[in-house]
Amino acid sequence: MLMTLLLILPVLFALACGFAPARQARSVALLGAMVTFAVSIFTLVGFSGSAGGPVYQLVEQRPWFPALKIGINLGADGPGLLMIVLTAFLTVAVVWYSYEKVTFREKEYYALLLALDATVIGAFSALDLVLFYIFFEACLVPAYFLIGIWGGRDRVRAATKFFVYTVVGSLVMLLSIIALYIHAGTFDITEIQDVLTRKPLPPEMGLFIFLGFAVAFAVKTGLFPFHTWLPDAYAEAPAAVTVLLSGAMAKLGTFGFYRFGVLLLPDAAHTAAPLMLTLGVLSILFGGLVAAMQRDMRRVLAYSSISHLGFVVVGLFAGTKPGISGAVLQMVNHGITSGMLFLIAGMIYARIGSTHLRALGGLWEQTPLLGRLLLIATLSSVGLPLTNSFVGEFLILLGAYQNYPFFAAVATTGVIWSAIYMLVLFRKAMYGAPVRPAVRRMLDLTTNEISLLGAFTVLIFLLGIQPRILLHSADASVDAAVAGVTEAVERASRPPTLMQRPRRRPPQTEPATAAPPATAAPPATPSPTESTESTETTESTQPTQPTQPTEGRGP
Amino acid sequence: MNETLDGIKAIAAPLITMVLGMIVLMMDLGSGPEAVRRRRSLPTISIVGLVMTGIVALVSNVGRQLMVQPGQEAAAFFGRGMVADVFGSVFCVVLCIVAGLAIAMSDRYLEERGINHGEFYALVLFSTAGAMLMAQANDLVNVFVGLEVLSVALYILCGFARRDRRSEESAVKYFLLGSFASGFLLFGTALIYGAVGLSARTLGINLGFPGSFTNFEVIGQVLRESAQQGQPLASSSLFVTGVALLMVGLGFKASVVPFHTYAPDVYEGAPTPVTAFMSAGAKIGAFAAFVRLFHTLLNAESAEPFRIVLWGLAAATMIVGNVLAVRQTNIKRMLAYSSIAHAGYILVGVLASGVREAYQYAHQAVLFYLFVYTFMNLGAFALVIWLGRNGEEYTRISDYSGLARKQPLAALAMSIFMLSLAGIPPAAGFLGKLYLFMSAVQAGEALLAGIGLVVSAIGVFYYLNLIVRMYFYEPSDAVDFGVVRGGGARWAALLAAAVTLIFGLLPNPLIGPRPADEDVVDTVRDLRLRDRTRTPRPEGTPPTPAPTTEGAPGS
Repeated sequence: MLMTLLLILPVLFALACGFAPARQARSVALLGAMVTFAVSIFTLVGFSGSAGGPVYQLVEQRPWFPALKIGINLGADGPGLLMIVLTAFLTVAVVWYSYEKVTFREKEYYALLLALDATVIGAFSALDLVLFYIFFEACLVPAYFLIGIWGGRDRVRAATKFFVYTVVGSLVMLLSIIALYIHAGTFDITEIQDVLTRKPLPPEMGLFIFLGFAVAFAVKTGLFPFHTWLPDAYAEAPAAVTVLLSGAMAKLGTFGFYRFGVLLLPDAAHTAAPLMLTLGVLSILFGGLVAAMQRDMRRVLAYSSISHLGFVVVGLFAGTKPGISGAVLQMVNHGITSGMLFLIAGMIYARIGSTHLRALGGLWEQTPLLGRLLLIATLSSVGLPLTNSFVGEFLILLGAYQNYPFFAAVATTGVIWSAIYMLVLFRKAMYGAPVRPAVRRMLDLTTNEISLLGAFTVLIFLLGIQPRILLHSADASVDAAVAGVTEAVERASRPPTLMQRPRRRPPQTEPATAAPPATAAPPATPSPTESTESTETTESTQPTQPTQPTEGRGP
Repeated sequence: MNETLDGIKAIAAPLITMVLGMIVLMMDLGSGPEAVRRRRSLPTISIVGLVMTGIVALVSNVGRQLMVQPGQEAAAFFGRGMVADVFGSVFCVVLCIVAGLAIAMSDRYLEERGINHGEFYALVLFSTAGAMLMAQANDLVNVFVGLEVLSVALYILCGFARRDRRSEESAVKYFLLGSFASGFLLFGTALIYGAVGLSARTLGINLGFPGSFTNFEVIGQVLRESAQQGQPLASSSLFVTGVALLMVGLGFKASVVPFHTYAPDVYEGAPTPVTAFMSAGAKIGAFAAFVRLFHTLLNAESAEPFRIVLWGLAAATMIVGNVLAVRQTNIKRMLAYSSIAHAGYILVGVLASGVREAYQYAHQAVLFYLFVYTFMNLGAFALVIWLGRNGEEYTRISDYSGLARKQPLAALAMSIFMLSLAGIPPAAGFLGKLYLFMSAVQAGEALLAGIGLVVSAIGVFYYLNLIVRMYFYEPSDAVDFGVVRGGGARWAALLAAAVTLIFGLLPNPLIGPRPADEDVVDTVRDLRLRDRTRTPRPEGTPPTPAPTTEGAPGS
């Protein structure tokens, strides 16, 4: 019931927005977003994702289109639920943010925001492939209108590019979905998982299905060669929508990699891991490099988003528990950090009509509060210890190093890039004297904005100091994923003959012994005294030792 | 006597429609104020009559099979020339809807152009009856009769705006090319008659019932038995030529590439309600015949050449329709090309209907798609009429700039049609497409489904273009969308939009649970499983419960 409520509530409030008087629409929307967020928190509290429990919980199944065996199957695993809560939170934030900023066609604006909320939550909670596809596509429609109507100067081109790219990507996925159905005879994800364990896909077929999914998710995430729509869309969309695009919708891509790649098709995910890691690393480097060259704050942030989600992909396909947990954590973290950064960019834009770095400068003196909050967000984005991103990135690199030391090494350089472009951005925007007339007239944050950004700040530090609260609820799902990938590694390394039976044992027990130090790492890591590099070397060498043999056998 | 009554009951829908047309003609007679008043009620009478016909069609064949398989005896009447099954009935219902919507949207249009004559309604009804006849025909000769009834009425309707040169051009073009197509169809029928008769005589095939050699059942039987005897009819050049000519004739009516070239000109010139009727009505008739023909042909062995040709036609139609639609600036022409593209999608389903594993699926998919297509396509035309004023329509796509500001409801409805035509999820077009392509994959035509998906992505582009115009552009001063008296077109458009949306969200009422389907899917899966796991069974042992498929496991 709760999952259905999470879907229906925003839709109902969206309709209410459509019928409310124009001035009241925003209050209705805020109420709707808050109620949805409250329900999602309630769901999270009732959710037990501890290791050993069932992966999918709160499952609700209703027939919808029996002729095709499509059902309204909703439910969530830990990461899915975290994403739902994140989406609901960001929706509250953006409605709040838009309160005084959106002044025309308000009814449609708020109704579409809530519709976006509902469809993204729907995609995170769908346990039926077609239902997932429907939500995955349907969330484009509100986003498209939001960019196209309320966006910046080049909005029509950006919106169309965004829509066409993502639709083309998802059409490829549709073919994979149909192929899976033909193999398994059902669209239900949990049932498919059962069928696949009993009757595995032929390896090439599995790989093709995986690649079909991968195209759609890579486009949605904005992975390196599929990213070209992203900077335009992020830069042209109104700030509130950019927050939802990068914070929630782009996560549909990484989350899809997790649920349909790592969890559902571990064999194919293992086979394709080098490819995906390459794309992830390329995204990290390319995003960082290009971000450093941008001259517009929102474009810097857009490219940094590409870079950060590259980390998530690296973690997901590392095939180790720290890697995957870190990736899940980082999905949430990126939503918060990039959300805050884009909101600040939007606030600057609302004040001086530009976010071009040449038009800024001297904000530290002119608007001290905004400056301090931007500093916190910047440091979080760079991955300073004590902030949320540090834990996630560290776990990802640790997990990747265990199986793919080369990729981990290259990915680590991305941290340097992020420091470069973020600090350069900060310097150009903040320091110097406020010379531009627009800047000199600029006002500092309002109470509304302070409380909004304050909430983000609290989350940044809370998750930086105590990431367990998130990691804990994702445990069961992540364990299942790791187990699946471990088995896949085993299957891949085992010759087709049955002579090698006894060899199955050691790799199965080894990760089990390796896991505890890895899971114990998160609370220990954010010690402020140690620098990033030193923590890494001391901590990561320990768990890698026992898994070294697995890695040698793996590929 | 009893059998005649049964027969009349079985084909009640075309009969009633025909009689209704005659009643309308009669009521149109006479002069004076009395007659004028009577004439005004003609549309209402036609629509009420069509609703009743639809209900009759729905109940008259309840309990029968969707379509009998080749080899089984169908419930056929009138010298086995007309068949009674659910497939035909549902087509009749859809045709009633097409005619009803076309009449509903025409009232103000005809008045303003001064062509409000009673024949219009009678001709639409006759044409509908012809299409219904095609849907229930079990004999090529009856297909031809239905086609002619359909076409002759349509030729007149195309030129109904007598004083309009474009309308005349459209009528002449359609008539000249259409009569050629009819000739092809008739000649093909003659050749098939000869080929089948020759084969039956020389091989001494004992026909199950006395019938003409153009009967679908007879053709199917001779195809099967001649193949068993080693001299397949399908390889006789006479027969192949005949089928090729049939495909030309039917392909013309369904506007299949390369017989599509008339469509844009005719669609553009004809009065818009006629265009709307033609784009769905004529197609539905042709596709019903197509499905029956290929159901017969492809289920027989050694039908590979037809399959290849149909494959090529489907691929070409999808590609050409979508690609050419991109460049159109006239909305009627754009819809014409889009309707060509949609004919291509439906051909994919027709192709799948010839494969044993998929045909039940495919029949439903074709039905579902045509049903949905009717609403989205007629809805779009109704909207064009709704927004027109004083007999002039806004047919340039650029005229629709900023429509969302002036007529938000119309813009919303148009967006629903466009999204549905593009196959974007919340609208019903997506489910239709999914259904069709799934049946194709089930039939082993994954490549064709892939082509379909790729070109749908092109489709997204031009459908989106209209939405971009309506929502993201400022209204132009040259076009006045101020207060328009919508009339019936308004209601038709809104009804169609509502249905398109509702069937996208709740498809069940249309195609409810069908246990037969599940059997098919399961048996197909069983068959495949068995193929993989076991060697073919010895003759004589019955396959696992497979009531709906007659295939032996090894074949």
